Amino acid sequence: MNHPAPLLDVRDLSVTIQTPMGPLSAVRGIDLTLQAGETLCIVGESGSGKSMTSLALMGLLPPRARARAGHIRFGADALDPDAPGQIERLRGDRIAMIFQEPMTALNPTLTLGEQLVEGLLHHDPSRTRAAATARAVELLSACGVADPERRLTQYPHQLSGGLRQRVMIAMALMTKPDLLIADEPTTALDRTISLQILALLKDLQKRFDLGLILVTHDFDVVREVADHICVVYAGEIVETGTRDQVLNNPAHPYTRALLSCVPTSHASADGRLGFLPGVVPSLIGPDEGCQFRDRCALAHAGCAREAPWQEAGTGHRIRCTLAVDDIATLYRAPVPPAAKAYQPDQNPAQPALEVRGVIQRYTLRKGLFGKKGQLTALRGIDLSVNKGEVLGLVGESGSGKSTLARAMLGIERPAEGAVLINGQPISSVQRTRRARLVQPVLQDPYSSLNPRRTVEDTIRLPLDIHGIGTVEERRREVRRMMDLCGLPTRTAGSFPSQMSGGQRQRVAIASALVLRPEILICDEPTSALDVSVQAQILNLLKDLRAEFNLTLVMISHDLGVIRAMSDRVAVMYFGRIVEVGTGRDLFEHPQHPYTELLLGGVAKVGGQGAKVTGTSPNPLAPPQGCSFSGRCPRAVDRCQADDPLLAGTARHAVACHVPA
Amino acid sequence: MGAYIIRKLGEALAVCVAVSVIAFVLVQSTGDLAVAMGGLDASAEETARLREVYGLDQSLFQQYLGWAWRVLQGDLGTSYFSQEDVLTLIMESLPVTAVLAVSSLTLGLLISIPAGVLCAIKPGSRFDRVCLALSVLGQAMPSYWVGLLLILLFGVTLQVLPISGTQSAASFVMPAMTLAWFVFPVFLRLSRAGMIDVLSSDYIRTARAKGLPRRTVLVKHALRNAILPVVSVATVQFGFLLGGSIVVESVFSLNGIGLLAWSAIQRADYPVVQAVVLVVAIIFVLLNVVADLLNAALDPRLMSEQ
Repeated sequence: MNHPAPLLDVRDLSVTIQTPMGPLSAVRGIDLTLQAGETLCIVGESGSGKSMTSLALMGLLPPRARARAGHIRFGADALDPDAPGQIERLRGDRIAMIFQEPMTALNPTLTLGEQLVEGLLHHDPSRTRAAATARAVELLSACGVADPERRLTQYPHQLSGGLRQRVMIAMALMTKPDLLIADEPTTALDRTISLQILALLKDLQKRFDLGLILVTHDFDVVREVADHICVVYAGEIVETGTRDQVLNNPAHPYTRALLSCVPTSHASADGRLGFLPGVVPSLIGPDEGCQFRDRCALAHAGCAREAPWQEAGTGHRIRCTLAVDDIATLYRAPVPPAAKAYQPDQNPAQPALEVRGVIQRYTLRKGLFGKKGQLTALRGIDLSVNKGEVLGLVGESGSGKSTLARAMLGIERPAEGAVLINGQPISSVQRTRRARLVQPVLQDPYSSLNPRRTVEDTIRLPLDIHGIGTVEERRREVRRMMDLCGLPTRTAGSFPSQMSGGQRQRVAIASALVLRPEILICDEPTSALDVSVQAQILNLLKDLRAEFNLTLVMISHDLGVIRAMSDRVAVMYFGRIVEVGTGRDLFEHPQHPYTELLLGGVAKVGGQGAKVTGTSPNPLAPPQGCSFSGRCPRAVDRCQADDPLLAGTARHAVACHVPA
Repeated sequence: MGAYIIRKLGEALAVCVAVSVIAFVLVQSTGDLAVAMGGLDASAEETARLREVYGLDQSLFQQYLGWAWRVLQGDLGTSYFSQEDVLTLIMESLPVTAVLAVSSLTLGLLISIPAGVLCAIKPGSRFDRVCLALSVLGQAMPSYWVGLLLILLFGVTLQVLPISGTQSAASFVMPAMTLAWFVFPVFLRLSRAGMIDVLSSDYIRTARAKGLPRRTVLVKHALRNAILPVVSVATVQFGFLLGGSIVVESVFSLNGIGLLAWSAIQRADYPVVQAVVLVVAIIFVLLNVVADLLNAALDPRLMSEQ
């Protein structure tokens, strides 16, 4: 094939960060090539150096980090990453960047109009402000921002997250860059919004012949947009190739193991996810050997020397000490023995957890004499979970998932309705008794553990509070829980700051289970974790469920996680359950258009046109009819006037006038 | 913006009414005012007569209403001690304190904000460490001592500045320096911490990613966000300087409102004490309104929250 000169050609890029413990090699000899109009995905877990790579290309490294490179060629320019001024000249002009957090990436005190035009006016002083503003309006509408003129005078806080990310993209394109670097551009967004943003990026790429480098940990995103993929591990590229090659025929043991951890559309509550033990090693003073060898199932003595590059196909290369064919014959997907089979009681006399007509309202008030507003977070929830069942609760931010979790935990009393545990209203259960019935596992293990308590103290605390057992019995019980949750005994005296995110979440789970509750409410238990660690935690929860005959409520915005865990799934939208059914029924035959939207890919979203670009209605002024009608491709007149109620069988029920 | 201002002024008015009640009750609850005025030698009849003359025999509520009504008409009463109109006394001393407060606050801000910004650009640098050391000194040294040291240096040894009184602008230099030294640590730390915080924020990275020059990033994008807390605290500090510069006023013999309050308290001159408390409190409340409005002008999020 006759390749034109690449848009970007990077050889041997390294980034070193000075730390008090010594220099940390965040990026070690990375090569990248990108053609105009192509998308390159750099994918890896946290600590793999993927963000440092993109920041080095932009010359935006933190003060203590230094970049070195064999060469960086951008079009006809040769750049020295260490020479001041060279990258700066191109930055924001021909190379632009968008970031992960649209909520914080825009300056809160400047109007969007000012933030849009300032970069262009700086790089092209000959342009008038009026001309720059005209371009901003043009780009905003190209990015799907309705009413762009009005947006110019608005401030970031007046826009939703998805809209802010659209503005960010428009801002990056103001100077007609040739290369756009996107660092986790959809990670902070809800799934439907993130699909819209990815579709937009693909569309803009085609229109402006844009080279796109997309940095992400999310294989769903990679699958949607990548042309080429670089898998990075511990600061090095371990595998590179086209999307098909890497995702469908992964060659490197790391890529294979990592992909087995990703919950796919084949995942179900009965099976287990793949297994990739351990964590990314420290990059302070690494040796030249393969950094993956401590976690690799195929590691051998030769892995201590530098791994050579090998061809696995045309343009498909891996870095491994084993030959490609040997890996293929030796490698076994590291799936541990299946979870203990558990058959939940299908027709019990009484559900373990029942939510009856729960409505929750909050009163908002501003200032001393401000107007009162009433926000209805839950608008009538009916739900029951049988003993031993895993109920998945999926929905976007603001749908009321966490409010429902608080009601189910008995932390907040609902305005109307009741939550019953084994038929008894939770509000009438004594606080200490309640703690032995239902326990939470929260999202962020970094902030939900007391930093001044050791692992042993944290797990033992509930036993102390409830005065269970003697000191020796408590100690034994703590050790048993640690063992069950996969925490090595030597970590008993560790503090949370000395542990990884996955280990912390194990501690949180152990301390939730030490009282032997019947019900565990997991609110986004893995969304702060890497995919390999997520798989470990989800597998652990599956085991513990069988071990303790647990009833689980699994709350997540991640459909993959829900799919991999749940016997039954409830889809929440705007304070209501819009569809509930067994996992298979719901995922294979979704009936509510919102569920379809959640399950659909980019192509589907793009094909359905402008209608799906909307967001949830204003919770302070809920619409009269169906709350989804404003976004619904199937909406009929009746939907605007008449709010549909959940109807159907116990296996599958939906709240829609026009179900599929 | 209009609605926001009206709402803030409404809140301020409510606070002022509450403050006036507190000012009134505070003074009343110090004991029997008639006894305090008459002194230990006064006979029962004299005390009773005092009570009648000053309306102290009425119910507290009536007394408050009467006092509040007179205050609204601009009548703050008459000093028990000098029989002068209290409003006149306050109008004589307030400008002295105001000039002192404005000049010391301006001086303090002009030094501490740029210094804080420079510290934040390179935390841990020599300049940063010197500034932090100075701010510790500023917090540790009592202002009367700083005032005395300045008097020794500029008044006695060098003899370039007057050591007391309010005859000329030069008289205000040393008191203003003393108070600026007092406010410097707070503002330095606030602007330094604010700036460090803002400089590591995502939107600064966005601004840098646009390729904007360093100065633009620092001033336009960072400083405006970083000084938000400084604005809030500066207005409160201004209130403190108006009401609490008693020590410095007495060191430099400035006839400010602090000195007026101090001597009135010593003489049990309750109308004056009450009036000073009320006036300073109302100024405080108004300053808070100003702070809210300034913050709203700098930070658009405050005006349209929900």
